[in-house]
Amino acid sequence: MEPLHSLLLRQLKRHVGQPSAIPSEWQALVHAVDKAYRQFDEDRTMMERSLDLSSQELLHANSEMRVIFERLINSSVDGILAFDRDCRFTVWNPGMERITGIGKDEANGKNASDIFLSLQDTDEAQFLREALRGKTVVAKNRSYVARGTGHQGFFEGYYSPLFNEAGMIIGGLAVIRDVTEQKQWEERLKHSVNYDPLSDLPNRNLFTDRLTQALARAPWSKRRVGILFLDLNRFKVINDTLGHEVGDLLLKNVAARLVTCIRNGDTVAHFGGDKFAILLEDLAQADDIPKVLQKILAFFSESFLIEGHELFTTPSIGVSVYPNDGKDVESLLKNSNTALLRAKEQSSQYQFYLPTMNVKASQRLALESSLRHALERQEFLLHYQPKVAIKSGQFVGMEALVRWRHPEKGIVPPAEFIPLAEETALIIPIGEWVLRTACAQTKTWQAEGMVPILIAVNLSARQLQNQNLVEIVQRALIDTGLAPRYLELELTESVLMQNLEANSVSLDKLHAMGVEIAIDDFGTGYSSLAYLKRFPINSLKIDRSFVRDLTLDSDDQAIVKAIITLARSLKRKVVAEGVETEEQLEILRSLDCDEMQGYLFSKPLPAEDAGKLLKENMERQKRTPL
Amino acid sequence: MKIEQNRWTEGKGWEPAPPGKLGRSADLVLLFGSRNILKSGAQVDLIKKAFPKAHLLGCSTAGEIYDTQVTDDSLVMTAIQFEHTRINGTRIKIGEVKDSFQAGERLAQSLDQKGLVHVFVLSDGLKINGSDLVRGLTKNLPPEVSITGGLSGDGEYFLETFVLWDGPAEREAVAILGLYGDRLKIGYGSLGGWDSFGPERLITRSEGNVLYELDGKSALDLYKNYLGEHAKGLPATGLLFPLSLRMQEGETGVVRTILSINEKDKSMVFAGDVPQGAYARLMKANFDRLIDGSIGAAKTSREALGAAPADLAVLISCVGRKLVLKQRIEEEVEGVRDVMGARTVLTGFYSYGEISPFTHNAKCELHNQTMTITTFSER
Repeated sequence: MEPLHSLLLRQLKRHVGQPSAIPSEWQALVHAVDKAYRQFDEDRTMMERSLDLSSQELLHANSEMRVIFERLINSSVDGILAFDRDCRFTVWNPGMERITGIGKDEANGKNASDIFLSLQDTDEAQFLREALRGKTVVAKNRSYVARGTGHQGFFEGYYSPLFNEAGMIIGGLAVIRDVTEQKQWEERLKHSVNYDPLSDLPNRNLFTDRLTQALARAPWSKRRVGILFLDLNRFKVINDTLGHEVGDLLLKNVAARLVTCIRNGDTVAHFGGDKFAILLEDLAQADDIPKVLQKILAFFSESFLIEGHELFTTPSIGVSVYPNDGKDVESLLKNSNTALLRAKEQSSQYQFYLPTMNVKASQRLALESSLRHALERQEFLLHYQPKVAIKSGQFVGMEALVRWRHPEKGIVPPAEFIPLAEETALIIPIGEWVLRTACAQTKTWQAEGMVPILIAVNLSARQLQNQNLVEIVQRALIDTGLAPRYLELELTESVLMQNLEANSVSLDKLHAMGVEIAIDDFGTGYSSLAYLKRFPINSLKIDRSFVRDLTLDSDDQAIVKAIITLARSLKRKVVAEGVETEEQLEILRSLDCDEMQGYLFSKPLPAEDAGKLLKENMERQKRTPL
Repeated sequence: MKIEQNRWTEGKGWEPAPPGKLGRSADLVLLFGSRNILKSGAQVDLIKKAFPKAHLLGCSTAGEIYDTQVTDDSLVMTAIQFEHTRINGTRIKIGEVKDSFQAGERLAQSLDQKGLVHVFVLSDGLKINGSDLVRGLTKNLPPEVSITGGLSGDGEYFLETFVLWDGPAEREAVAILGLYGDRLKIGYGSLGGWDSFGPERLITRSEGNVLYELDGKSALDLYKNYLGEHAKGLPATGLLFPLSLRMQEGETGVVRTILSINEKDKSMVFAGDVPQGAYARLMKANFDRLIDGSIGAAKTSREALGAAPADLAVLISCVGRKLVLKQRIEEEVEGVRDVMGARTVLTGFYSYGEISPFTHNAKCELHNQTMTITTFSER
């Protein structure tokens, strides 16, 4: 048998005597007490062991959590802080140090009000107190001035209460996110949505906004609102000849000048390229607008000095006025644009909108739309006007002239549709069609046994600028089988003078192919004689205006004589256009002009008639050889 | 309701002797005894003869309750003559633990549900998933029918348990008793009184009522570490540290105790579900709170009956409580007596699991480590 529990044994010895002396009827009781003592010991030992083990486990878990927690808050780019019930900081991570410039050692244990006051912020402490009242606060657009750097940053703060297990608030937490960069991006984005990147003036978007607001106010104030739509004449020439950098600098200078022309509260906007718009608000009377116009024009009368170039540029301005010319943004903008186009058409510096302009504009729009389909509907045709050698009276060539047979309007004169085609670039496909048709017709005549003649085709500025011009001409000649020496390209002086360098390259190539080049309307344009040397020109066509008054005006006669003399000495051929009378022919013959073209001999004819005439002429020549 | 109660022990035989005063008028005899007494069958046969018209319902235990005394190696018999109550019952054998749900379903379906008031169930204590058994019963009984009962026990041995219904006591059996009649009043209550301690642990590997890992580590190793030299007493000593489980934050936890361990795959079998993903905490006994728990369960079960005291109270208390309270175990039964008053007959046993709703209107569940009391009275 196991010895008795040590405590029980001691108690028995002290109070009863040796265990052997205990009466047998007490043994069961002693045994039960002994068992109870042992059990209590066992229970206590196990309880102590389990508490020890669990406290070790908790300690381990706690330190693991603490490591993770510290890693997390120290590696966060956001500012993280915690505070107790008295608003004293208990956590202040490196993110907070970065944001505020205040170190952890300084912040910990300090009251929130003291710390944030030093950051010129009074709201922050208020948010912390709200969190302590159990609220979760999200505060956007916070700003602190960082200690040390003095850098002002923008932040978003998230503040929340911290509860213990019993649900009591024991403090709070805050996460502060630096959104300075994001805000800057947003600002930049916002700016780019509303401002032109080159001039930094309001763009169309912001202009439209401001106009909308102005129109909303106008009915109450009973004032007028003026819209000036403006672009620069010859800007393209400057851009093309001096380069985009100079062009951009000019636009910036123009922008700066325009801004000085207006009052505070008015808006100068840059719609991109050379287009500007000005919003004049709160006008007592429409008379105020001419004053602004004069001011603008006065500013443009002075030259712009850009990278050593002294540049002159003038604006064309279209004006529309609320409420007369429209009551909404769209119609006011549209009408000022219409007025601008009219100003350009009329070469005037500015033009107020008139209701009739829209009628013209819409007609033009309709014409443009049908012009776009004219080629595919085969509505174009060519007429041919013969050229005759003055001395021999022989047929030497034909000028191909395009005509448009409109399904409703009948024949539309070239003067009405060619400028439109030029503007819309439709001239490129139309021009190519003219070239190929004229070449094909000439080849047909040759195949029919006619004496070969030179076919003249007109080139517009756009065609000449087209980089594929040489290729287009080449392909037309190859496809139709016409020898290059039978093709003559006519271009005016002004067409030639735009973009001199590129033109020179194209014309040299064409000349090298064997194609002839003629200057049309000679004497009316630049008349810079230098280009006669520079370009491979075969002939000059004297403008019809000089020929018309040849019999009446001695000046014109002198000019014509001078042109012929000039051509002679440069060994160029001379052709007189618009010869209508025998008298004119006589004078030209006396001045030794080479060739002539005009109603005296024949008006422009359809291909069939021109062919007949060609045949008659050939037969006549056979009968009366020179 | 008339009740006759007697106890048989090896040394003293039947007291009072002989049993059988109610004779042919007894309807039901409840028998709670040690495994060996039930296995031998001699005393059961004697009771059968003494109450020839009564149904016999009983099971093996980890301690028998006779009035306020808790004894081992005894047989406690309680014969009942109902005045207004009809009873019916059956027992089935269960094949495998995974069939526990079907066993519950089959038992529930075997009862005539017309006029059914209460179902009292006694199950095998080892080869069972008590949670599944309860789910099978609940699913197939009308919601107003209350269910209580318990899992049979085998002392501190956890070797084999027995259930009897009319015939001899059998292993791997579940018996069910249906009580009918609108004058029968039933009360029930169940409380534990254990304290959770230490860290909360995630159940990272388990299957049904088999637990493998907590926080990715062997659960069995954790128990052995906490038990120290008592680890050799597993699975019984595992009852000293029940597990408290909860699925979600703020949820009332359920308590689970160990039925067996498997050294091979380091698993532990619990009396009910230990779902993966649930959080578990070890629990420890607090003597005063255990006894308060019993008193609380007694109050709940008595209040349900109204002012009049119960005729009979069946106490089913967890073996874990007995392992902890040891010589003081009777204090919890005395606490129940104080609540019930002198008139109520107390019987019951120490179990491997208790079946009852926590309180009225709660869902019936399998509990561990609780004192679960069912009170009966006829008005």
